[in-house]
Amino acid sequence: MLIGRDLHWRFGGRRLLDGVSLTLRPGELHAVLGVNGAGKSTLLKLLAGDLHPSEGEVLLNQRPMRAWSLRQRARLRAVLPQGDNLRFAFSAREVVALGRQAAVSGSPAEEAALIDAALADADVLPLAERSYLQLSGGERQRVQLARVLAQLSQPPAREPVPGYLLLDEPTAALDLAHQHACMALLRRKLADGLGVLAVLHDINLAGRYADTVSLLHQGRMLAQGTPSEVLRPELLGRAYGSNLRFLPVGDPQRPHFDIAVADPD
Amino acid sequence: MHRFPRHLLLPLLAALLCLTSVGALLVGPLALHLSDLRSLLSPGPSPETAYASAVLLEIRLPRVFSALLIGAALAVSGAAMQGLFRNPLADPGLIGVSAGAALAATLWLALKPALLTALAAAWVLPLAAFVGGALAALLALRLGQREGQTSVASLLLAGLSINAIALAGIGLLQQLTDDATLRDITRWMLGSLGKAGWTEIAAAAPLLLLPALLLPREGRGLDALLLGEAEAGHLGVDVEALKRRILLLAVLAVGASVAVAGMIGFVGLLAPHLVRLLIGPGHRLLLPASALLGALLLLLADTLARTVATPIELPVGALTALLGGPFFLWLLARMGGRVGAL
Repeated sequence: MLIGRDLHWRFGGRRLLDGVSLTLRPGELHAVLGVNGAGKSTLLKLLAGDLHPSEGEVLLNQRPMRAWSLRQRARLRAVLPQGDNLRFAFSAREVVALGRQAAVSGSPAEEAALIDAALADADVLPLAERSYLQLSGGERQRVQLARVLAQLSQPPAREPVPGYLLLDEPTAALDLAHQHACMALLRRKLADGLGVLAVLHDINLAGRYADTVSLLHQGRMLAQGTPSEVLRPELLGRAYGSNLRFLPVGDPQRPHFDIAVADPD
Repeated sequence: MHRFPRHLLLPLLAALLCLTSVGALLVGPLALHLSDLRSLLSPGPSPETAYASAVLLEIRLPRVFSALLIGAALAVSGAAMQGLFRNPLADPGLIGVSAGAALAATLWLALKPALLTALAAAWVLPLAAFVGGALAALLALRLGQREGQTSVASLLLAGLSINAIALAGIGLLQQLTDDATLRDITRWMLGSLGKAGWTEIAAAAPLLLLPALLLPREGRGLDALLLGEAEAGHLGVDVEALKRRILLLAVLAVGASVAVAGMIGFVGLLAPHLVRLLIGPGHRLLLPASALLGALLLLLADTLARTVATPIELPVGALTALLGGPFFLWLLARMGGRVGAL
């Protein structure tokens, strides 16, 4: 399990995260929701081990994050950050292969198959030999997704180790079809023993695909639980502001909302 | 993407390097033949070949060695710094290391106590240049750091200002020296291998070989770093330690080469670019291939510099800039300004 316990993060005199707890289990897809600046990315960085909490602790498989070496961490959790910094003309396949750096690697044939599988999962196998710099924003995001999938993949002979995938807005640059393909792919990966945490902006994607949801508001946990517990109009109204009206439609176990914008008057 | 066959690149470069080295030993005011080499290199040459043997062993051989070492060290440092800054235009000269080394070396040339022997001077000059380069790099790093993280933009800006200050200092020192030293400083500011004898090489060789041999081992970490610093950390790379190792090795290479040959530009920029065009940006092949190509380029440039206008010898640094500058502009124009695509 990946556990954040009573996490605080203060920076420059501001409380960006204030006593937030979260548990990510293998086989679980956990969505983190909230407005810009609510603390979603900070929470993800604390859970990833990028930041050390001002108070509280992060436990990765029962051990404090700091007790794991960088290489051990890289074998247990992969992180898909927002945006990309790559300015060199790697091919898409080479980018995905970078994800295998810390892995316990299999034979060359197994590694190649594993990278192909990750490329195919993210629907970028036809782009494998293209230069990353010539891809569109959404294609790049899918290549990066393939990279983090490859990072936590195991050669077939190995006993699977539970891993944690931390994704900061994985669907942000994707078209509607690929948004759903991406979420469906993440659900399929749960069966391999992965735990997936995704920061999302679309509450309906969270309602449809997530097992558990955290709703952050001004650095605090406003609500946490199953989609039907968290995705309720009054809570969403508090998190996203009074301008929006959330009108539930369909199955209450898989909450889905029509969103109306209040008249400015 | 169409790329050069990866497994052929290193053998091809090594073969070209061997051929060019032999060629460089043979050409010059005193032309030698391939058939002479064996007798000239054997101990105790006959009186009629003694002069030719001295030219070969005392002038051309050390010069070829220094061109190979300096070219390799500059090119591999350039490739590593470009990876470190995730900027294909970055270069050790960019963060002020070359200029800092040059300032310290000029200071030494201008103020050296007359008591020191030539031998001691040969050892002190690279040391002074290394110290100057290291101070400049530390200053750039310090100015470039915010909350323990190195910001690339502020590091580059710091390098720019250090460059300006160091060059101004060199200019002032030039006004204060006698004519002989001024000529020394000027020639060496333009970059020349003309003063590289066995003593100078012996002093600088360890400082040049260490980066040329150790930097290629950092390929994996640099590949990951191209994704971004946080991303490299997620892949298990200790980014701050990697930065420190690369900066230290690059400062060693640049300081030592500035001490021996002055400021030789464009090798550290050109060689990695050409290799990237052939085989892409992966550092595991880029670093060793850049070292070989850098050695080849500087050897060719230096051989041209000393033969094209005999008996006048052109400063090789001016030659690399003359040849490298337009090529670099052509490269930029061809890429339509998409510098990232290089």
